Amino acid sequence: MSDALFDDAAAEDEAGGPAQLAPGEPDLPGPFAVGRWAEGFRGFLRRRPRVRLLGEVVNLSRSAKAVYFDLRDADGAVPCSMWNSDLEKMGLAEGALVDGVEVVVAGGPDYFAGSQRSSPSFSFRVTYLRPAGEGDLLAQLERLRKQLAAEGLFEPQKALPRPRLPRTLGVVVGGGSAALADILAGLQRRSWRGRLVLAHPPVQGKGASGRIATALRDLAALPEVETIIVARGGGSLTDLWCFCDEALCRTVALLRVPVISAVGHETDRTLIDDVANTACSTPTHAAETAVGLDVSVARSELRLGAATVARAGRRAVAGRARSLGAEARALSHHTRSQRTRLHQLIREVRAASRRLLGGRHALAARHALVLQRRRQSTLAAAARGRGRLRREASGIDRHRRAAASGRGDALARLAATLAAHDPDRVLERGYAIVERPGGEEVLTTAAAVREAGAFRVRLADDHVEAEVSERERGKRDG
Amino acid sequence: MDEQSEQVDAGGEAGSAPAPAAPASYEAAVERLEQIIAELDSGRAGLRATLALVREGKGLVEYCKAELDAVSGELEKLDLDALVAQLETASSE
Repeated sequence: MSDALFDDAAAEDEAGGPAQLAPGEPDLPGPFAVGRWAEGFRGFLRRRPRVRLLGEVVNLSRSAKAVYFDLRDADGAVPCSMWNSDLEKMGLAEGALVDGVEVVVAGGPDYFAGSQRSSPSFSFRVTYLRPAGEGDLLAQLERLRKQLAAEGLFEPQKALPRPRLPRTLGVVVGGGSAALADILAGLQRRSWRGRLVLAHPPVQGKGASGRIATALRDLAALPEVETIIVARGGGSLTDLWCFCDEALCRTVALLRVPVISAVGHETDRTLIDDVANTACSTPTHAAETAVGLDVSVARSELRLGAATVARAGRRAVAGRARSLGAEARALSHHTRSQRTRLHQLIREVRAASRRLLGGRHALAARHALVLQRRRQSTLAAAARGRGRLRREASGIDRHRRAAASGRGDALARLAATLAAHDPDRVLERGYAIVERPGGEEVLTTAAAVREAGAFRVRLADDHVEAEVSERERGKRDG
Repeated sequence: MDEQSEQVDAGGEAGSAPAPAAPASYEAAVERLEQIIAELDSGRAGLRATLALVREGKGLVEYCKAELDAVSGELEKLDLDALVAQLETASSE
């Protein structure tokens, strides 16, 4: 009967006769008694096909008879209820059904019609429940991934430049976690000792994604934060599920600061890895990616670079100075060789002039020698002449004696003439010869005697040294 | 060759050479420094260009050294929540 309320044909019969319509009132079936309609509505809902749903358990509460929770994802939610008797049949471990877990439920829509004293309510009546398996989550993840990719949300973070040497890093990681220790070890390997701003939101379970998103927004709001690392150690996909949260991933995609994600193990691929600037396999790798260089190696390389620059500077000046110096030296060498040549020429000229003068001196000496020899030969000839005259004179005497015997007169005349030419005989007759003091030249004129100043007078027996008187000298000078 | 580049330099550096802009980042500084070293090593630069490159290179070395020094002291760990609380207190006063 109640089902018929939702059957148009039967509705007319169920209504309490033709109704009076108020002005503006829609002309619809009814009015029906609400309790009956509610009952009919419950029947209608219960006839809907039963389905399985996947979502996160939120607002879990328990009563003596049943558990109540919302099954929720990013797009919507359904209120669920499950009889405790049904839940016990599931054999779930203690604590398996808590807020934040992803579950798969089976059931269908139901309606509690309420009563005069109790409120009605709609719920999805769960008859089967299990924690969501990887397969369920992966399928959901794939749908989300496609949706975010289609919206272009994988790109904005990729376009952000990431500094190789940040001074300040933001880190979102579980407090005291192995992931944090790994990050610190990675930074240590890089010899990086800058500033870390640490955020430790829950990284698993209910509300984790929202807290992570808040931490990321706060870190990005700090102007000094240049890169943010989001890291979590390995776990099941359910454990990591908060990093696949759609709202969190949308937040990351639109941050102004590059985000490096390292969530789970190498094989895991959470949605945050897709939207992040860079996805790393481990927290250590994330730290080494955030600081893209080894600080101590960079310092050594910088020292080399600095030395190269300084050397280039010195070489630029010194090298050019050297070549300039070489050119200057070549120039001065050229000048020096020219000067040497000039000096050589001067020496040669001097030597030549000395030779010339020496030649003249030698010539004069030769002339003097010749004169000396001529004088000596003249004197020798004179001496020879005297000897011959003496011999001839004795011969003449003999001839004179012979002349007495016949031919004497002519010979005696000749002998007398010859004797008149003998200088010694002339000297014997009182004549004198005036010579230079050494006797090397006969002075034959008064001028020559005055000129000589001192002279020698040779007489028949000896010679006398003499000087021109002051008066005579006066004549010469006058 | 040298003369030519000197002439080019002279043309390019009419008046006083402008000071090179501060590097945008450590990696930009290193990249430029590597360019400078390659250019100096090539020996193509004339005297004036060489001296300008050396001056710029020294500036970059100083910048890079300061950047390395900034991350070579003591690792500093700040707590975000404490920092945010501080900022909120400061802004409410």
